[in-house]
Amino acid sequence: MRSAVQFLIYFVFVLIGPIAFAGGDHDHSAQPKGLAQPKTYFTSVSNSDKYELLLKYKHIETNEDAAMQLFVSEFNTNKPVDKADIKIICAEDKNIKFSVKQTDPGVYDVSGTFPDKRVYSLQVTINSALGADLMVLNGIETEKELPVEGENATEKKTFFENPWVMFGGGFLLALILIFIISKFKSKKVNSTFLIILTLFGTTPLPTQQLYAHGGEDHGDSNKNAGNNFSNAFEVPKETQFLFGVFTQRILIGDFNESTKLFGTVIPSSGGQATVNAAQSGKIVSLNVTVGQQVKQGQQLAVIDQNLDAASQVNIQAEKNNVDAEFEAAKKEYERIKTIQDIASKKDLSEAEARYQKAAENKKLYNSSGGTRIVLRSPIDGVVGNFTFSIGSTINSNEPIFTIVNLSKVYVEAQVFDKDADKVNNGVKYSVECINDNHKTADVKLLALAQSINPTNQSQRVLFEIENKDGKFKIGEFVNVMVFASGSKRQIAVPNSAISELNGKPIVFIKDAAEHYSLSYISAGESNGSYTVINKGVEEDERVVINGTYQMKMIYLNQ
Amino acid sequence: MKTILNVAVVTAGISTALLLSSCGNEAKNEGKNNESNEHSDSTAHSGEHTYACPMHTEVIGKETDKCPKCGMKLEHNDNAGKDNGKTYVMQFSSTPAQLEAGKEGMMSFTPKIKENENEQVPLDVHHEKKIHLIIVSNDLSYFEHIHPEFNSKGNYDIKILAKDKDFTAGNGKNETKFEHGGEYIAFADYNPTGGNHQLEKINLKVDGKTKPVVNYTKENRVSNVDGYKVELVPDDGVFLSGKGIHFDGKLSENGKVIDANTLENYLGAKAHMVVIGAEDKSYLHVHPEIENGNFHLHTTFDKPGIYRGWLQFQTNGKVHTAEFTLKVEEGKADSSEKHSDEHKH
Repeated sequence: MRSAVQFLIYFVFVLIGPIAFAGGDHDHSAQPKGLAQPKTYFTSVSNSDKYELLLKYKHIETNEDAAMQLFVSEFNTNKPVDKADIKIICAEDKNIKFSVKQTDPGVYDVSGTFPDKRVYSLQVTINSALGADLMVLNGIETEKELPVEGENATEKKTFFENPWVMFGGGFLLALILIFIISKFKSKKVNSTFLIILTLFGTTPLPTQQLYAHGGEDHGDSNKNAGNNFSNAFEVPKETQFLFGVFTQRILIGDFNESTKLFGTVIPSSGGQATVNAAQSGKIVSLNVTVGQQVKQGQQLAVIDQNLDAASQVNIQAEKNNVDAEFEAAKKEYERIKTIQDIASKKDLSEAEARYQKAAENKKLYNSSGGTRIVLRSPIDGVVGNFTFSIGSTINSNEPIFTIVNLSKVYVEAQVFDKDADKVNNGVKYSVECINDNHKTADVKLLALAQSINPTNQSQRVLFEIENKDGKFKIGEFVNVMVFASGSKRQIAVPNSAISELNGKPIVFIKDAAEHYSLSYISAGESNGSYTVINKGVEEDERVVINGTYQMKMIYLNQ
Repeated sequence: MKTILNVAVVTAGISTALLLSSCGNEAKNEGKNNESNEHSDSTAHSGEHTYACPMHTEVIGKETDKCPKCGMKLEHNDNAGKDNGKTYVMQFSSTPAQLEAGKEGMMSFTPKIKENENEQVPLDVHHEKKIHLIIVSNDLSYFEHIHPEFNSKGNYDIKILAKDKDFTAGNGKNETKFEHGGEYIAFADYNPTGGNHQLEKINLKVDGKTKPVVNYTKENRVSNVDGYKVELVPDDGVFLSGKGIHFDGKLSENGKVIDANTLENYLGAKAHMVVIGAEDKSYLHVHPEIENGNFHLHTTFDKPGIYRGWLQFQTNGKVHTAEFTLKVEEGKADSSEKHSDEHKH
């Protein structure tokens, strides 16, 4: 009797199971719902050589205004087609009027009222900068229900798919457990064993969650397996437009082989000048500032020479002599001029000559500044950094100013023997800054060296850059790309198309309007802007060239 | 002690039940998601798929089959072979109404449905274009493969340039020229959306000085074009009528054999071949496959006689047209079965 009561208690407790389970089931089923993201719309797609049309719609009620969205993009580039002139007629019912309004570039709201429950097709006449086209969107079905969450569509179920069967199994197991325990009990088991049993009994709770999680992962990998490991994934058109996912049709094209050289920007000949003081002295006037643009011959500074006492006396004496001679000659000339009627012509011309000579000498002496030296810029350019100020004392032959002209700079590159021919026969040369690959310029080959550096067996090659805006600075490290004259016809994609996954190069291929797939590639040589693809893509496929990073993130987060 | 035991047992029972049922539930959810995905794709078919030739939709078969008319692999097409009850015609007009050799003009093509002339007929893109227009002179000495472009008025137009004008995008793109007067035939090859593949034969008369008529009597299976040599080699040594004929196209440049796989795609295929009968002007459009680096073609000539063939392929961005004259002998029907068995690839 007592065991019967005990059994009943067990039974009641075990019955709580389904209640707990029911709650768990609810929460649990909600989770995969969010993960799998079942589609909430129907689509109809039409492609031509110019356009790709994608119509998205939800449940269409007959005789009610149906709101649909039409995404128009360029077929080859996936770029949204802005401000297209779109007219839609229904092939099955010409009386249906459609209104089309652009909401975003490439996104058009389409509304119309369908009278019957049937499958319609829409004829779309489209005209934009790309040209005109006439396309058909097929299979638009009214009164079609979207798959509703929680509705069990699978008719056939295996036993483990039925929660009640599973629960029954669990219940049976519990009964068996009770039976075993009561058996043990009769054999007077010790308390340690009971504690172990208690532990065993309680542990399945966390284990259940772990198992459930494992099941989810399993489900995901199964889903991938269903895609034949094709690495395919879906990207809604809205997302593609938002992230600017653009594609390019892969064609066999000219691929110029290129060789990369490392180089350093150096000043061109005549592109840099140093201004020295010939004598030691003191700066008495500074006419330029650092970074100032100066012209050839422009005065930069004035230096007052440092002279010993004897030299100073000499200079002063000389100055006095010149001044005295000038004054004397002037007076003599003026005197003879006043009496020129009676003076001989010879005296007059002698006095005039003496006066002119004295004036010249005085002018010369003054212009030489006497003890002052004027520093002038030898070239057009920009004044480099200097630390002197007015009053600074300078030593003779000390460099004071550096004038740099960046409008033309040279690149000195080291070329090894194997590349020397390629450099010599190149048809186009360009440089890019090592730290900033957007800083590029075309360069001209100036000269290949006649001798080889004995230390590293390289040759010094000079290139000239027209550097009008001063992009490249002296001493900057650059890459020089040498493009060969011959080009190969190969499949090449822009470098922006290639990204990496698990250390392997990949590209993303557009399969359909919202379907993309990842393709592992074997990349060949790159010429700085394009990379040859040896394997992994086919001609005429559309490869993603913009938004590659976003595509990778979407792929990894799916 | 008993209470502990009871609690332990009850907990174990509940947990086990939960564990098992949640596993089952997981499997169920998964099944449901897959189902809803399939459902939303709305491409679910019931029963067997139909495979048809993309060019000759009346040719229906299994997935691995090939079209006996053009040798193309059959593609999945559930609408193939079903008549949609519409008769299509390609309406032709030109500006000026009478074209003249060497003079500027325009040709317009408008697909129409018979007895419903006002309805616009959308066309499917096949081999990258909506209409493939093959223009040949009546004596088959002149050949051109061009593609009229759709305009906002609903016509497919192709511009005719004056004699001294240069093609804007190179020869064979979206413009043409008539350098000589005479009679021409235009074959418009198109595929109306929801309908079967269509071929319209349009006779053109161009005013102006005519070229002397060429009479093709001698077979010429070797063609030299732009430095390339293409040689057609039938598997049986001769071209016979009334049965599936397999032949190779061997391509070489300056005596060096070229692997046809290395060619660039032209209109989505490595090559296109058009064959037109000299007598009845019957039209065949064949797409070669590549076998052992050669073009491999497969077609059926209905009648014996002289045929002219043009094989087009692309290298370095330029399309080359190799032309041939084929002499098709009267074939015996009995050997055809054996032959086609041999060539089931």
